[in-house]
Amino acid sequence: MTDYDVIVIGGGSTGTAVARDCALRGLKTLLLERDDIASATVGTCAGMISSGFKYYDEPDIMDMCSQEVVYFRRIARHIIMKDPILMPFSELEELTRGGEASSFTDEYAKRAKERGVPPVMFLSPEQSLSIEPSLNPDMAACLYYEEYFIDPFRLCLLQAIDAKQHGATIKTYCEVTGIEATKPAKRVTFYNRATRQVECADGKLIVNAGGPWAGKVAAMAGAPLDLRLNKGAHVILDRRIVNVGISSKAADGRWIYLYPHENTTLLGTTALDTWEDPDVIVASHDEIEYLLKSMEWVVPSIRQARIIRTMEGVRPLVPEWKRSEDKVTRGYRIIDHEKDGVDGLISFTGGKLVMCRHMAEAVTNLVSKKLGRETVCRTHLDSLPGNGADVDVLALAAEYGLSQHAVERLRARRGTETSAVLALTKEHPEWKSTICTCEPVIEAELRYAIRNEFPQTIGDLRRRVRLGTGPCQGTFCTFKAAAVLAEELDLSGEQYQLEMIDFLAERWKGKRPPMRGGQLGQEELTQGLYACVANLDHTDLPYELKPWEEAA
Amino acid sequence: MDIETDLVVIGGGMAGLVAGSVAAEAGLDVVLLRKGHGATAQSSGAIDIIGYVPGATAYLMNPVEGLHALSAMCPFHPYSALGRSQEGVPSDPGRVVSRVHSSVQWLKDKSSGSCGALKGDLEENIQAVSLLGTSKPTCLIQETMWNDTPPSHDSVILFAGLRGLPDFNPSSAVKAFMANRPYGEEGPRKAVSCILDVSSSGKPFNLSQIEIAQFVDHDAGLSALANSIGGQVLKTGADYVAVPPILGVERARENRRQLEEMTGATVFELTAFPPSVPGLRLQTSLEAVFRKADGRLLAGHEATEVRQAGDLVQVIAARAPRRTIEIRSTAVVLASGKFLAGGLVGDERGVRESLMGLPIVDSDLIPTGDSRPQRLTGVIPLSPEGHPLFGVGLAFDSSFHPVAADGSPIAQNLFAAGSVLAGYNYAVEKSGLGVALATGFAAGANAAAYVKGVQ
Ligand SMILES: Cc1cc2nc3c(=O)[nH]c(=O)nc-3n(C[C@H](O)[C@H](O)[C@H](O)COP(=O)(O)OP(=O)(O)OC[C@H]3O[C@@H](n4cnc5c(N)ncnc54)[C@H](O)[C@@H]3O)c2cc1C
Ligand SMILES: Cc1cc2nc3c(=O)[nH]c(=O)nc-3n(C[C@H](O)[C@H](O)[C@H](O)COP(=O)(O)OP(=O)(O)OC[C@H]3O[C@@H](n4cnc5c(N)ncnc54)[C@H](O)[C@@H]3O)c2cc1C
Repeated sequence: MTDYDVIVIGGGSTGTAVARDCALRGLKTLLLERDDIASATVGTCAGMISSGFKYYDEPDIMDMCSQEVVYFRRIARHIIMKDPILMPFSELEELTRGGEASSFTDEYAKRAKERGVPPVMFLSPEQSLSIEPSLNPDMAACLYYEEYFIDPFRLCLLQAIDAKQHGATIKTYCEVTGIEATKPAKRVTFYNRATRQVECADGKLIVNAGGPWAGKVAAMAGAPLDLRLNKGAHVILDRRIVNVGISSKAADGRWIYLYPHENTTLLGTTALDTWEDPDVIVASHDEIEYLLKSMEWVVPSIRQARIIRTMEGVRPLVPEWKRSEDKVTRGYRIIDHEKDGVDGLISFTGGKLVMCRHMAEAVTNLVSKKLGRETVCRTHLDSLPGNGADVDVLALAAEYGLSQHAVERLRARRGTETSAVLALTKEHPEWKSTICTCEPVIEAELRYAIRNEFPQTIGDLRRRVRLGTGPCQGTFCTFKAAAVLAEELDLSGEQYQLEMIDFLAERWKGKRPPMRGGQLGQEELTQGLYACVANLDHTDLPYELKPWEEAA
Repeated sequence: MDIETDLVVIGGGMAGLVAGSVAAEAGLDVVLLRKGHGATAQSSGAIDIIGYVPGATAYLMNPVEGLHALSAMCPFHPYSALGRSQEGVPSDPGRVVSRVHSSVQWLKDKSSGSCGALKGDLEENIQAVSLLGTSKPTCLIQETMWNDTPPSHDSVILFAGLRGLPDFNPSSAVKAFMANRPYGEEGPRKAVSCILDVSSSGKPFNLSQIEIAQFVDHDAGLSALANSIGGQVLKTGADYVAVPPILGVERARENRRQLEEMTGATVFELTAFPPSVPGLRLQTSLEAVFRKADGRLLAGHEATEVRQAGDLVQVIAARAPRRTIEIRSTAVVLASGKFLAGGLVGDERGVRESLMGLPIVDSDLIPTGDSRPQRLTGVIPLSPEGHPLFGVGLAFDSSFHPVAADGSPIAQNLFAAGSVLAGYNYAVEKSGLGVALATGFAAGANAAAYVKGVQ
């Protein structure tokens, strides 16, 4: 007897997409995630679902990406947004060198209409400055194109919830510690961090979507898996400091960008090969200054912006070595470890957020074949939860007496679910109170998320509702959210206090590396609340050091 | 020159207002420039003297003992400087205690009868319970937060929240309160929670402490609160009712008395996060003291330049929304606060004093102006050690002159006080308003003595 057809290891963009596809095809599926959904690499990415514009030297990939964008617009349009992007050039010849321009503009134009974007345009400095006045006027021209961005946290969560609604079992805080490739079933042993118990499950096949940990996961089954791990940093600015995205060449000639993202702006990214444990990596001073220095050439006022934090992620690239990171394929590989004598284990290397659905389709095809099941993929056709009719934000704001901004932000996360969240306030009008003022997030959404989206910590709530991601970085919402969580999950007095300390520690991880400017006063305020008044710096609570704290 | 005066105080928090008031009471003509609200107005209003010796985990029952310990262990702490009659001699703990005591006594006297009236004693720390159900050792608290007899073993304590006030969740606070037992093993065994319906506007969400407190200052608000609390007291048998600090802005003490009469229970306020009503009451009552001493408060005025000639500062330029002014002054007290208030600023190159670029040191007197702020932080956000970043500030001598690297005063007539000074991390020590009070008191007196000496 096996419990499951498929056991998916990893709850990032890849793993949740795989679980969704398997569940939609009627396979009995279990997803095991060591932490929370979208807690690793995918949560540190820019969320760009690129048309593949940058990968013009890999036409197949460009083609795949632009097709995926079309699908995302079909299945998840409520959580995506479009940003125009300007790419300034200092010399005209840069634009035409080696016929590059024509090849990528042609590729880009292929599905432009289906993607709902105009073809690439060339803008004069005057035209460019009228769109984005903060640009350095010293330019020859700008390339103009449009790209889509998705909320990576919501995408993963919605994929997981959709999988669940189609019969999959989703277990977060369950870390796989062993894989026994016995026949016919494979036994997966895992440590459940919530219950502090070791548990196990049997499955016919195992899909390893462990991202940068995929090598470690494969090794548990005795299978070799090489990955090229490459870390990248983002510097996050406190608001949308530019009207449009900007793409430009960095100090070393690589491409970097400045993207308005949700209520913030992302400056990224670096690309450095790494052999460090992904759990302990934080952005370095060099990475931060590299990004600022590089962007300063095109946006001279960049240093006046307030930096609120950094984030650092590790890309699990295809193991192509002895070439620079940007020459490594952006594609993915599916490795059936049968060839290594480990039957029933399938791993990924490479890939991107934008490809997660495609990766899932390919692996589920292979899974079906191996299981001898005839299945049809529907992930590009069926909506993710909340993707439905238009939501009338203005009418809802008026009906509930809430600000239009608050309702629009709610809509951008929840689409058609917005009404269900707001309906909670009919019985509890006090739940219209704003818990996170930066984003903003109202109490009703927190309660809704806690009841329907299986968060266990305030950090999990952050991924679900963007709590604590704004300029104050949790100073004014941590204690309010902890109290609501404690009430809903019936946490003990100790757990309630630890929740606050844990979340502040997680925020501090990203706040600390770039500490400067306005954030110094902000941090004094945070210390004022949680140390000076609440005295949480002097507790005998059983706080467990975080991996990056232990490593320091 | 637009204004000529004896003393210019830069900064309108605890340190600046105390320095200005003391100097004005001594007969000086004082002009105080205040850019905006700093930490004082954001504080919980509880005046910490010293709660923990730096790095220690056990709290101090008696601040006097703490001042003795600091005087011996932390020579560069602002309190320790109070114990030196001149440079180079060890700090005398008796002198520290007596000077802190004088400043405390002065503040208690001055604020007596006002909305910021204080209770407490330098010889005893009390546990102030916060909105989270945690507590900290502090020394002086406003009368509306004070209990003559703390809740005992048999007491029933009711944490009462207000519908629509998201700052306070009484059910979670009760859990933390019972886990922490701030009143010790003798404290109450039973704590319960409830939600009161008291809204001024009828709007049941996004209420602030301040708008509720203003409502309670009116008879309608007070009776709504009293009815609501009264009902819950009957239901739960509570003899103590802990509420957020909403008992009033101006009439809080009187309101409390009436509430207790009407409900039969002891009603007291918890400490809260900003924007808190007690912080506002403290700020307001300090301003009243300063005005009463005939000080001139120029709100909305930011000092932009301090001009120095030889070993004297002479002219202060300031900017307000619609004007710029120049002031010639015989002496200056710099009480511009830390990062939050803008007294100190920092970028990737280091930390600076914002107005004059005065030298910056850390708690060990090591120059840190060129240290990147991140280097002055630890990897754990909350710990009894705190971050060195929040102990940096101006180096100063025993007269509270800011000093250069060689220890000599920057100017004979320039003094500094409050959190712009180096040598202590108020958040972890629990010493913020106490240091601001004691150093403001000393700097104000020194500035007055200087001005009188040259006149
Ligand atoms: C800085 C940066 C920017 C990027 N920007 C973009 C972009 O704009 N657009 C784009 O398309 N792509 C982008 N990417 C790439 C993209 O983020 C990743 O390729 C993709 O998200 C990887 O997803 P994943 O699910 O494979 O990995 P992850 O998100 O890392 O998920 C793997 C999961 O496996 C879990 N796991 C590991 N070991 C175990 C175990 N033993 N038991 C249980 N669970 C386990 C982990 O906790 C983790 O949640 C970017 C990447 C980086 C680093
Ligand atoms: C959230 C929080 C809670 C706290 N709670 C407590 C507590 O419960 N108990 C306690 O004892 N301590 C507490 N503290 C610490 C305490 O508030 C501070 O240590 C103390 O208020 C510092 O007083 P100060 O006068 O030195 O500075 P501030 O009160 O910060 O005042 C500085 C003043 O200088 C002004 N200023 C700055 N630059 C200029 C300029 N160029 N021109 C004109 N004016 C200028 C500012 O506008 C401000 O008015 C808390 C701090 C915070 C942040």
